[in-house]
Amino acid sequence: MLPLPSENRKVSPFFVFYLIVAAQFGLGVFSFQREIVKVVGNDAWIAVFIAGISIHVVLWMIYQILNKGTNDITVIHKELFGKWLGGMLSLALIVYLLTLAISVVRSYTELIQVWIFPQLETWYMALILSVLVYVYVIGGFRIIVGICFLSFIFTTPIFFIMLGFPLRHMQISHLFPIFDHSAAELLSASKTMTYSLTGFETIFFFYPFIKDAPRSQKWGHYGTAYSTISYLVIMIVSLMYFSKNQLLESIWPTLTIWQIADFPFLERFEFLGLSFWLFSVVNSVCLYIWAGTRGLKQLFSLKQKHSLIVILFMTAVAATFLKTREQIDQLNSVMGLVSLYVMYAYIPFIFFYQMIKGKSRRTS
Amino acid sequence: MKKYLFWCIFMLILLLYNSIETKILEDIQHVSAIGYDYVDEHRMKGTAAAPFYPAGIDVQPLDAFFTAVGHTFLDILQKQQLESQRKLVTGRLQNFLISKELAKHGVAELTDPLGRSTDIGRDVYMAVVDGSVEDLLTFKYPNAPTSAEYLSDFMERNLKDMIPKPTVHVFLDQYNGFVQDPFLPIIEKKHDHIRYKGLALFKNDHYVGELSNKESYLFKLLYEKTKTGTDQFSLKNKKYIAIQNIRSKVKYKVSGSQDDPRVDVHVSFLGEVKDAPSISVGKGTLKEMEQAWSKGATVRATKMMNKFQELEVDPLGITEKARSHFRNFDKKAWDQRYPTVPIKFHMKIRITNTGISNK
Repeated sequence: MLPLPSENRKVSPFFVFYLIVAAQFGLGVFSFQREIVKVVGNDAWIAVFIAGISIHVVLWMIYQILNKGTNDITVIHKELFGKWLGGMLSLALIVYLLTLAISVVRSYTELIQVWIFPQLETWYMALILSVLVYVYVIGGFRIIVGICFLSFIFTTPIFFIMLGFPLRHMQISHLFPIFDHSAAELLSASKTMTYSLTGFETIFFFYPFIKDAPRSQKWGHYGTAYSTISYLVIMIVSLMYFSKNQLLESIWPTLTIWQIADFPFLERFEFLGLSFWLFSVVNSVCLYIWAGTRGLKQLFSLKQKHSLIVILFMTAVAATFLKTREQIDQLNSVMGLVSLYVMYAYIPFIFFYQMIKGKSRRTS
Repeated sequence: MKKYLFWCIFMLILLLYNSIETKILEDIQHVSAIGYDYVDEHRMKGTAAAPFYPAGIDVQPLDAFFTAVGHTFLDILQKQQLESQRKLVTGRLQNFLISKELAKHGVAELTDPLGRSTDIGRDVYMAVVDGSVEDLLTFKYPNAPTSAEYLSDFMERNLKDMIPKPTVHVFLDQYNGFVQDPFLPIIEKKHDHIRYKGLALFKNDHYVGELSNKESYLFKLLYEKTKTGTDQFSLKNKKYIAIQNIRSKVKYKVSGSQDDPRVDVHVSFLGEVKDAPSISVGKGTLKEMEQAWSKGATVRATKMMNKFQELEVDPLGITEKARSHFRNFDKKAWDQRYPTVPIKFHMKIRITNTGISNK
């Protein structure tokens, strides 16, 4: 196992806020509405709310696990399950995060292809993104934190200003009647929300890099609350702006909302907004890939620089192999299902297992 | 060394990649208005107005039109392309016209690319043209440099005061949403001007009827809250009075059960007397005016509603109000019941002042 990072490689606790927001507030904001509205229609915002609350609980569990282990997840796995089983679990988690990175890269490329440049080839975009990610990740964890912070500054104001344009077309009546759907329906709808809010599991890897880490928990919760509220606002705006069928028809409702904006000097805002979203994409990909390579370093003592090149190459190749909308959709729905299990089965399992094991050790 | 090699190759790839089609402003021609006429059951005739800006300083744009017959939006655009001097692009499209004849046969196929393509914005204004779209678009109007400019000014700056905003977003939303029927303004070419004629009512994507321009202002009052426009009415003694709208609000109240619903529409209107020839405006007459307006407006609104119910169209979105009121809303049953639902109008007016004269 590696030694814990030295003090000068750590960051202050409040940066956890930006890291969590960077992981959760990514491409999901463009397209998360449809799956939820399909199930619960006008009550969709309640489902978002429920998902947000449950994520808080999961985050709390993650902090409990890490506070007890006082190291990253690979060490905790090893302590709990031994070298082989623990190693397998860590590897699974790493593969999961790296696949998330592939899905983000490919989804963003698809957005550019559909909205701006139909002729753009996937390998080209994947190459540019990989090189960008390489430049940041090689700089170490503190650089990634910086990028997360910058992207927060760049994307947030745009995002909320843009939600002002549809105001004059909104109809409050679309939200009523509230609670027209059963609790079971609401729960099953909130399941699809987890995929948008996923990615903050990277905290399992960067926990040792936070100064006075247990104290950062409140910032983690603030971050989650921030993303949940953002998603909630977008959901409410989209519900009021679109009629239900229209919302079900659009693949990226948030971008369609942006289409209504019209400045004297800029006829079509969504192109600009989409380009700005590169920040948001790069920082989440950086975070996933950094966590993945860090994990590999812990497991196999691979040099992060070498594994990074291999993994970026694999990401670009994998992204290029996904060609059609259906394939991308399939990957996303599979990842959605996996993240559901990670969130609500794997993390609680580790939490309870650690608790029971800790107790039995104390009594014996 | 390896590092430098990598970066060199990367830079080369970045610089030499040219599979993206460029659209340079000087090399393209913006279509600013596009309109469609009915030809036969499968074909339509598209006219695109794409003003051409010659090189130079302070040059007047030249009117340029391209007409082609085809099956779909893109097919027609391709054929128009055959004639144009530069590449036609629709990124700055401002007006989308449909002839009445075409609207009668359904517009679903035509409006599909509006919702699907990223080349067209969502704030494009739509209208139905009474008569030939080609005539309206290609005419040289004396009051504007190009017809496209006239049309977009007319739709954007003028028409929005008289009727609810007819953008592509609103149309698609109403057409797709299962709770409301769309409506669009009807314009026509009269002598050498474009003129607003009334509102076209759609059932799904088919034109089924229209409102006159006088009725359409009342429609705006019933549809949304407004701050613009004037309404004229007459007193018992056949004296005409015009009031300007300061602000008006509308509220729908659905009550009863799903089997026996009733709808009350409350309009409150704050107005200012602008034109009251040969009437001495006193306290008594103000009251009288208020009563005369509410009575007249209620009758007109009820008549309009009866028309909607006869045609079984719902441009006011009463179905949406019912949906948001009743739990487990049954759309089919409501559609059958819609023509017989009792809808009552309560028109309230308050006249705040009589201008700067108290004659």
